[in-house]
Amino acid sequence: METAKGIRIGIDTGGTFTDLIAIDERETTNLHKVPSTPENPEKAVITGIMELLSKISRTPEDVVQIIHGSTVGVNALLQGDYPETALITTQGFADVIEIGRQRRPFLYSLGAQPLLTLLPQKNRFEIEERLDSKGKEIVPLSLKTISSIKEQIKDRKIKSVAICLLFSFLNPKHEQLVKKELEDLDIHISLSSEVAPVIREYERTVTTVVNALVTPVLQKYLSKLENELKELGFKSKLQIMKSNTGVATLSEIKNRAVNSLLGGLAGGVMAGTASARSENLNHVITFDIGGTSCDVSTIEEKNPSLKDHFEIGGYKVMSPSVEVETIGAGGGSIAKIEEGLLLVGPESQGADPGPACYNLGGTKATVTDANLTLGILDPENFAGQEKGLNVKRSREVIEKIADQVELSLLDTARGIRKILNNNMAHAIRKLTIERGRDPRNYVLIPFGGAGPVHAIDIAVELNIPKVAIPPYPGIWSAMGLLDSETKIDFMQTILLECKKENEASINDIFASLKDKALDQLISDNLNVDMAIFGYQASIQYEGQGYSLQLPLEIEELNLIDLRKEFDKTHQKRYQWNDEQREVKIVDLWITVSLSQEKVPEQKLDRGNQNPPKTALIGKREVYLDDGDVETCTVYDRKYLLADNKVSGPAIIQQMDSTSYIPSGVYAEVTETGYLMINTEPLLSESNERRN
Amino acid sequence: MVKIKDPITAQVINNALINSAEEAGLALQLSAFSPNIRERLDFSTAIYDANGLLLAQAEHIPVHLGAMIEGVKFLNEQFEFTKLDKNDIIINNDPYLGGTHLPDISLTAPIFVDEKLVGIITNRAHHADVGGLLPGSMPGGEYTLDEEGYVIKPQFLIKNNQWNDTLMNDFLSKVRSPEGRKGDLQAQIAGIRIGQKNIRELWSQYPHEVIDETIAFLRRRSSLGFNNILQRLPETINLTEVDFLDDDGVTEEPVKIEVTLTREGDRLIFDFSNSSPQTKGNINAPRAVSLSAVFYVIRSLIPSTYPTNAGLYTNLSIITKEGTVLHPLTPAGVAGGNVETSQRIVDVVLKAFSHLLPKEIHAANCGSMNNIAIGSDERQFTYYETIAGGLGAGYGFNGRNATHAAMTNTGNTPVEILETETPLRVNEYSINWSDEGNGKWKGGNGIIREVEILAEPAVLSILSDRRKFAPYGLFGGKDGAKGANYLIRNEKKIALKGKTTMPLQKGDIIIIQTPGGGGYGEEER
Repeated sequence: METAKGIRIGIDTGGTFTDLIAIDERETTNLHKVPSTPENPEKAVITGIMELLSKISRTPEDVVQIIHGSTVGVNALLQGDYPETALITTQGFADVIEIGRQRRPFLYSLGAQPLLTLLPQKNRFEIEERLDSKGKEIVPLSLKTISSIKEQIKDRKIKSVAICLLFSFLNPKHEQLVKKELEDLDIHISLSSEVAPVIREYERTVTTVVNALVTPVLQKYLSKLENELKELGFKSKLQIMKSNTGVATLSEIKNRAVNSLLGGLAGGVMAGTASARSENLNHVITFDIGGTSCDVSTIEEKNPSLKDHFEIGGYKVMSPSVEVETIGAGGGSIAKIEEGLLLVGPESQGADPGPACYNLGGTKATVTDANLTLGILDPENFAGQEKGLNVKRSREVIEKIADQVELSLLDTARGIRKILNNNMAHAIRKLTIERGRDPRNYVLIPFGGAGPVHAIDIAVELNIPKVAIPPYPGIWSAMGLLDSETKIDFMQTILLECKKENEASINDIFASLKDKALDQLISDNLNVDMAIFGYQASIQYEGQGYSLQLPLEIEELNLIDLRKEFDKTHQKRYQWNDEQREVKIVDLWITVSLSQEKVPEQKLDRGNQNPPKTALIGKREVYLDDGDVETCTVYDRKYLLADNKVSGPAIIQQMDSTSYIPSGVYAEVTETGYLMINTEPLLSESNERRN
Repeated sequence: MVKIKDPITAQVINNALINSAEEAGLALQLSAFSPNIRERLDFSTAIYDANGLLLAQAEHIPVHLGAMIEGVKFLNEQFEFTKLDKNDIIINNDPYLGGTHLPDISLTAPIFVDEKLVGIITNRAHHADVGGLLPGSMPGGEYTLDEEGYVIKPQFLIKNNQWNDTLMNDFLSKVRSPEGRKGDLQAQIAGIRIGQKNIRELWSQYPHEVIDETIAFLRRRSSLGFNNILQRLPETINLTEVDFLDDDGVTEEPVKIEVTLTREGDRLIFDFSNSSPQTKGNINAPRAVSLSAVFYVIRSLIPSTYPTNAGLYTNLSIITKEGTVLHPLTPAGVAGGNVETSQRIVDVVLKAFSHLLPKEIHAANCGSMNNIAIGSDERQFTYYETIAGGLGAGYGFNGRNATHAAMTNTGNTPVEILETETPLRVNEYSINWSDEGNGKWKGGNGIIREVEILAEPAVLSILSDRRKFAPYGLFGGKDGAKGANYLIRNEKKIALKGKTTMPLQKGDIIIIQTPGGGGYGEEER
């Protein structure tokens, strides 16, 4: 791997802010934050990069790499802002996409049951053909309707077409023939057998349609952005983050943009993975709290947890993605009383008007107002609010809630925090305890501006013994972008029994998937010698509907061992197994990764146990404990040195975040710039209190 | 407004209760075998206090959830849960003892913390087959309970940590896919164990008096949700409404469902005594099922911020007369009561409320679960599913197409899964685009599902309704489209009755057209 001879930039477009990070040849890290511009997202990206470069007195020519996590695709999808798109299905099945799984979103409601419509009825076409459940042709493809479909595509200025025929995951021939007929039109075409060759027609159709909707949007956005960058003198290539934590190759953006939809989330997960690797932590829970939402994921054996699908707008999209639990909980989450119960979120005040303390006209009590009232946040020093925070406003709005439940101001503020923490702890439970994973074996890595404000309380609630706060929590997701690699997935449904005699077939299928992946690397001019291949299978008991993902060694493929491993995993996850039952392999999944340069680790100068005087800002009164006022020592993080110990109660401030260290524990500064907190003294105490 | 000393802890406990039920449900779903459970989510989970009063439920299938309330009350009286061992599990599917219909098997277990009974957990799941005369155990026509399927009277499935082998051996020998049944029960047990663990954890985190106080508070708070409805209603109510099921599948006689709604102070009284006598055909709704239909409407009228617990239903009186179709006596057949009659109870209760709350009540939903079962003992397969229809339009919105209504919310069986696992082929699966159900706001359209039979012998059962009487429109909106069932044999298309059981031949094609929803308001021209 060669070292970069210039600046590398990561850009993470969020709902409220666009975060940037630049790392130069001397491995110096620079941060920047600009307001997002949802109408023209490229505007904030360009402004951000140019401001950041001028801040460090460098020019566009110095930049060697830009990796971007974008929400353009997701926004286009949710707002219906995409070009006219059509769907071609097997005759008799054009409505599958609207019928869905027949379920309604609200179980107990007499009101409307809304549905995000992806494609109106008039844009769905049928074609005569049919394969059976083995992939054998039973009705030949009839092209007699194709010319009328083509006419309509031209007349109606349809720019993109999805083709999804029954059982095409077993035999793509008919889909390919239809594509061939349409190729002379200048439009995008997505085939379900290429985008998501997996069983279940509805999910496969949705995935193919979503791909057809967002691919032209993303391409347009990228070419606009690339042109502007070129005009400004940038020579480096722009790369896009994918939902699977990899960087997309060029041909992938052109054909399978659906895979980039959750690139923003993947940046955060990759950042946590980088932390796990640099700090040598085997099991990590990442925990990213921004203004409106909280994203949680787990890192196992230093690898991000992935799954074969994600959900968006009520649709299940079969595209490999980080396994993230997102809840509506963040600094802007609104607290209110409803018939005697205190509720926090999921509604949020966002950035505008934002929490009451922003002084932008917000009149509702938010989590940030609670944290400010309790003294945890510094009104003079808060990321994104140059004019400071108004403590009086926060107290007023919280007082209003306090009156309704007849609690004191401080009890109410503490209550808001507690309920938010409880909601977030539940999201972590879903990924750990519900999966048979014990949180006591994990390290919590909090980031996002508000992560370190809540981390230790949440760790205590879940008995997590250790918290590691990364150097720049507020922009850590953008940093994660710079740590990603090129990564391509291919999946294939096979439906084979997990038995010795099928080892050869599985090897054959993996070989053909590997060829497919290599072809793509070659067509993207990537160095195939650097490729690392990972193999997985989705496995279930014959007759079940949901699979467990298990890694495979294909050089020494042993399906008997695999089966035993499956029984073990099933026991762990569902508390039962049955060694007598037949076991079926549903899908095979191959991942190819090409490593690229990683973010250099920080190296802080060494100090001793006592933080230097320069780091000391002063004292602040904090009201977190039910009883007394705590006087916290306040530190400036940028002056802390390796080996410093910051004893609680303390607050550590930095440009992009605030860390709260309660009394009874201390934060130790590592050479790589992390704050390590061992929460065990608090765990035993809280357990005693509970019993 | 109700008050509690510590509203913060109360909220934390409230969330933990709901989450416990949901986690327990997920464990059941993900390791289950029956397509009904894993693909179609035809299962439910709920948690009760030591007296059998509902504490929290995961939102799954309304007809289960309502009927389980009765089932747990009954079991607690019979078994005295305080005397059970902490690992005991009771199994039951008897519709006359708190069940719904025979394929719905319930497991119920005590939750002990330090030798003290703190709660009860139950789950109910629709198994693919529980024996009886026909594959799928959902015949339509003149069948007694024993002919419909295997009746499991309430008894131990697990006692002293041992499976009840006598029951299991007999049960598994009488069902069509014993391996799947055992796996489903294992998945149900997994759900029970995870729920028990969660509740024990919750109780270990707070002093018990705090939890007791919180539960009482949450219940009082939810009863305010009921007051929320009362505030929208007049002081005096005396209304009678009527709707009909097409027939019972044996005679051609319409089956009347009638409700008289009255109010006495803070109490609403639903009297169904004038409904038809119990029928020969198996569309009788056990009383527990009838109650659950009323619970569904009440729950839907209360804002969702009031959690579902026993408090919601305290001020309801529901009167059914023994020997009627809504309160049948054993051994009358009940397979269709749960799926068809329950929907008509919802229709008639909503129609009564439409006079009182015109802008809140939508026109009739499709009103049938359109049950179809095809199976073969010789070929060893069973296919059962319910097919959605259109939803009724309401003030300000069109009814959604092709969506399950009211008492159910199951998913479909994917065509590719169905064809991979059974000798059946689906030739068409589409929306039944129709002009019926028009109005200012249009009712949703139903579905067309066309299934071809590739192996014989096989037997078909259809349990469907709204083939003769259309789903009603409201306030000038037109009635929704009626449903229809057809058989194509030797290229001849024959209309089938709404409730049918018949042998099939290879090459037969069954077409189910499900009803649409009614329109709302006069159409503007």
